[in-house]
Amino acid sequence: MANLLWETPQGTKSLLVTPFATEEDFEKTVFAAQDILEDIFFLKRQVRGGNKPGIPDIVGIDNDGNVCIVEMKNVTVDSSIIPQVLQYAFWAETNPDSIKSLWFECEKKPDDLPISCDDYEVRIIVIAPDILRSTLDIVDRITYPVDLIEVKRWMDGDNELLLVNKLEQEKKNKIRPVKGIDTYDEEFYRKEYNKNSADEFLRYTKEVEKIVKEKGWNLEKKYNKHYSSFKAGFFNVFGVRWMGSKTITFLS
Amino acid sequence: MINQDDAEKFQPPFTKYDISWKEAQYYIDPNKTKTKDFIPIFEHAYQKMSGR
Repeated sequence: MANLLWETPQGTKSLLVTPFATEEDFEKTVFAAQDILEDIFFLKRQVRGGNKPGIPDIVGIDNDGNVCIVEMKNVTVDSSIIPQVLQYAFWAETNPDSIKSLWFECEKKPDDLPISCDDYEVRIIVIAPDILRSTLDIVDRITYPVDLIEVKRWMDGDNELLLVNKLEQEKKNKIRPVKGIDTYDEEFYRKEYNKNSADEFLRYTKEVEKIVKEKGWNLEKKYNKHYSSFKAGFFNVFGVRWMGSKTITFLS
Repeated sequence: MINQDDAEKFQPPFTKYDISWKEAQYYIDPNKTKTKDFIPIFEHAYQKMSGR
């Protein structure tokens, strides 16, 4: 059980991790802390019950146009969850009409969402208080991108402290499948977008990267299909995004 | 990402604030837009995210 030592002007407080009482309590907390899933627009959020086998309860679109399958469990998760979420991802991949219906049923859609209902990738997000590290070994061998995110809670009176930890595989020579997750690099942008605009997109991204280095900010640059981002752990802080094939924007 | 109230305090002004993604967007004109003008905005976003 994890302790949180909180240094305050009044002294050090030692807090014990506070488990979520129920699945519902866990899901409510995750949805209420909007930053955790801030890059996802939810198409379907049928959190409790009534689901059909093989069809996910929570489906969204992230700001890179990927269809996201979100699976939340208020228990310790191990690799046995992977077959279940793969089933969901397969459903999302093979049922573009269902995704399209969910999309059109939504009343308040975000502007400029770069989704193509005929050509999208599926991203899996598993959220639980504890996830066994061995799960990463399985995740590393499947072709869908998978985010494993631990959310733990500490309570101090009315204050609630949440730890959001995205599990990362330690760097090593990976065994990669023949066809895997698309690589987004300079070549990709020059191929997919207007060439001059791609040059500008890359130039601005590199200028931002230079500022990040000069300032000593602890941010990681990541190229995505529709934007480059500078991330603090799991969260995007700022970046450069495509708006169409020629126009680019800073986002913050 | 910064909230709309904070984004309104900074120059250059945002082109658009997307409420769904909670992000300010600034269109780039390669002939005019200078990245260094955005340092205060980036700095604010970083400080907010890093708890400083």
